[in-house]
Amino acid sequence: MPTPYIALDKLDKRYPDHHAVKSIDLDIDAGEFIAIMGPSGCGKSTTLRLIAGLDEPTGGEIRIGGDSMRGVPAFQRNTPMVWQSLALFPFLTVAENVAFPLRMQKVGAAERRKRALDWLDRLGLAGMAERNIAQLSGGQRQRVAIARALVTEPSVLLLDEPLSALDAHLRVRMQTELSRLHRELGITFVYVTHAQSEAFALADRIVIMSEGHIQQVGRPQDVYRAPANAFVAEFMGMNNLIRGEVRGGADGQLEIGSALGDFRVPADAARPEGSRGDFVIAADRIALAADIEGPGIAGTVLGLEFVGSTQTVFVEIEGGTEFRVQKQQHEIEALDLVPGRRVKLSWDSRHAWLLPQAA
Amino acid sequence: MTAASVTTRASALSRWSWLGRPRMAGSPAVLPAVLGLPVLLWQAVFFAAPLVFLVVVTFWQVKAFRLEPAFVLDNWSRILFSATFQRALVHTFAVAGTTTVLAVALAFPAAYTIAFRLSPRMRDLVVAFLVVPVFSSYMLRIYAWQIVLSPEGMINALLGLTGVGPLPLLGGAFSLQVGLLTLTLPIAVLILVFAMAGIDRTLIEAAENLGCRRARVIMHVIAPSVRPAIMLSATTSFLLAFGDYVSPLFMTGSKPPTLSILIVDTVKSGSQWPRASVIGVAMLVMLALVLGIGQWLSSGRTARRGAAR
Repeated sequence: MPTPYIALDKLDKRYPDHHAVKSIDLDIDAGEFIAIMGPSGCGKSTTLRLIAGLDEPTGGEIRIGGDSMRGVPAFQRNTPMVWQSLALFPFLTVAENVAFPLRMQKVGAAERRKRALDWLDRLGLAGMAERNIAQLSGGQRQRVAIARALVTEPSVLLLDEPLSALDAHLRVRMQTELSRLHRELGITFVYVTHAQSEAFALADRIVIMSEGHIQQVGRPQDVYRAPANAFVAEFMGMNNLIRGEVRGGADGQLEIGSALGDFRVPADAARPEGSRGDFVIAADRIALAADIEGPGIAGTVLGLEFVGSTQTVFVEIEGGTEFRVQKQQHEIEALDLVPGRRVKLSWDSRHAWLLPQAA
Repeated sequence: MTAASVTTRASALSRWSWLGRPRMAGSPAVLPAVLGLPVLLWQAVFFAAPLVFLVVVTFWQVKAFRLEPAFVLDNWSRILFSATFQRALVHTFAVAGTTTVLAVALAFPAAYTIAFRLSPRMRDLVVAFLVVPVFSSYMLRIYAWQIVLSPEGMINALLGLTGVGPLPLLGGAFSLQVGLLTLTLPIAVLILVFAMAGIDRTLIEAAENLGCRRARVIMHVIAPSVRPAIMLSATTSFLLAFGDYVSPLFMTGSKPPTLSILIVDTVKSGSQWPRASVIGVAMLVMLALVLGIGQWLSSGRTARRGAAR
């Protein structure tokens, strides 16, 4: 296994009033695009600030390229960051903003101007060099911030919710742009976001954080299909969590008893009878039937929500449990799914994912 | 930015809309004028009118200690070509310029410390201590300095114990600057503190993140961010020092005279109100010039280029 480019080793950050990062371990490979996700206050931005050296860890260590960052101040790390607020200097022109890091490295005026203009050109901002920041649109400012971060040709780029201030249309375009830059530059991107769509579209691996802990690290599809625990399952949104306990099992399957009935789920290993057997079933794996008499769980359609080409159907089961089911438009129409309609839910038991037992 | 440009466009529209529509009280075109009326009247009665009168008086004559309306240029030529006036002008400029440089040079590091190095509680306390002198009697503070600086004063008493002195602290350029800084420094510091407190901290972190060490952040981020405030504290200091009468009178005994001392002297010697008015008008013109230059400098290079576009 190659040495990771960025290694977080029992990294810990305690503020006077709260414990933001709780002894996390994480290895990030060179050239990897890693997304750190989690709800507000989960410690994802603090982790990024610790990597950049903007905050001092209260425990553990960060190594970048094998070197310990202990005692290395932010200005010596060359870990440029793209900020949510962009943090462009309003008193400098576009070209001067981009050339700022080079000026700090005492690169000559002619050289730094040339390199700044190259980067502006590369990000489609040719001809904007002499503008004021205030004269640019949101998307253009975003590009200036990215150019400014990349002008020193760093081996890592930190991004702190860089796209959250943009409107949806621009966000998708900037995603493509970031993806292209990552491919072309081959450097490590550490991307903090709370938007699942961004993380899924961009990242090689996703880190899910909650309350200062890392909950799961993995490829986007793995985190989605095989959540490590109930938090991740619920955070990913399109999973339905069913809490139950083990009743028995055979042939790589377990019998799970729950308030909604008995289910079979695939399992790698046997579990003792009576132990926890929580499992998830993804929203797009659930079949809906109008025939109430057939097998499955009966429920009532609560409402529908558009998500691009598909719709999410919210179904309430007796007892108050709510299910999310993802369906194509034509399926919705075929079943005439309007609020109040009674439906039957069922799924192939192979698609159920049994949550690993807590260590 | 888009929001801002929309508003400017909207206000530009409303500015011209009254041409086409009937005027109505409360309409966007009329309401600002109505609201602005009291201020306008106040300015006209208490600023514009006296100013016009001041200029008119410069052409009047004094005969047998009595002011008589006339139109003579004699007052202007006598004052502008007099060596006393020219010396006082140069002296006042030098004094006010020195105060300005000293005030900004002392205020900037002080404001930086207050805004960035003190805890929020200490910061509030220090700001309160800066505000109090602004609203206390200037005269009283100058008297206090006289006690401190006089040959029998506190400093010389302490120096006497070590065998040094007494030093002539009072009655020279040093004591004059002490007096003028007493007037200007608290205001200069306050202006800079408020400007620095408003700097987006992310800008400072971004600079450090991009390779700027802490000491250089002051030059590359903080100073350019508060540039208008630096110019404001400089022009305010200059204005206050240029027109001040108390410090030159009590800290130097009017020697050499500044322009404000000269005004009083001119009035006292033979009731020469017209000539005093000439000095006053000349001072106002110069202050307006200094203010204009300050404004131009404070807008900054990038902003000027933006406006020219």
